[in-house]
Amino acid sequence: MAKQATINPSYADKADRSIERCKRLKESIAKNKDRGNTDKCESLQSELARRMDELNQLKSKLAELDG
Amino acid sequence: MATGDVVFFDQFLVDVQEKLHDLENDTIKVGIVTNATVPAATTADPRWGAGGTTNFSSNEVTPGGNYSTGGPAAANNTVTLSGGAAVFDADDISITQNGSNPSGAYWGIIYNDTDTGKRAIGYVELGGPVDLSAGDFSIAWNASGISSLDQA
Repeated sequence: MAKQATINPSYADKADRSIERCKRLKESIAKNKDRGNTDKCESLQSELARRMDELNQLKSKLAELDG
Repeated sequence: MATGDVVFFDQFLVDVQEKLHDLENDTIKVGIVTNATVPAATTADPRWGAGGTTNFSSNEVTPGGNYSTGGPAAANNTVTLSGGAAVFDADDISITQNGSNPSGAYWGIIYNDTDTGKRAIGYVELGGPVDLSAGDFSIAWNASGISSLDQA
């Protein structure tokens, strides 16, 4: 049923959450495409892009650390 | 209760099976309240407004700054099937710091803003008192979503 949320999450919490949220956004985009819900798809795509951008920024910073 | 705990109202469990909520398409909001009220799973007919037994909007924090009356939307709500479970999820809640933001925040009331009766779904414990004017504030839903419904 209802699951524990995090108030003011850490960077690590955010990354874990974003990865799982991106998976569900992709699933929902596919579902809403099938249903012809164009407006909903655009909104979900926008959130997916924002989340992916955040994750890519994190990936770049980790790559810098690795040198 | 612990900070971040999310609890569904018992009434919601009835309402959702009587087709009063469409968790994929309705507008879901999170209104923030003070400790003048104490939500519980057993709270009778909880609403964000009149029409039920309990009106949480009567105990809303004072709107201002980046917090508007009724609270922010949990946008892009989705219901997807994952590993045999129906997962309800939405965008996280973020309120950017502003000196005029409210203080004395204790609970976030999750409610259906599309429903004419603005029936409440559940609540999240914020670990109050939280002063939203002191810094950025956010609620990140669980990595596994706000909730899931499965065969177990």
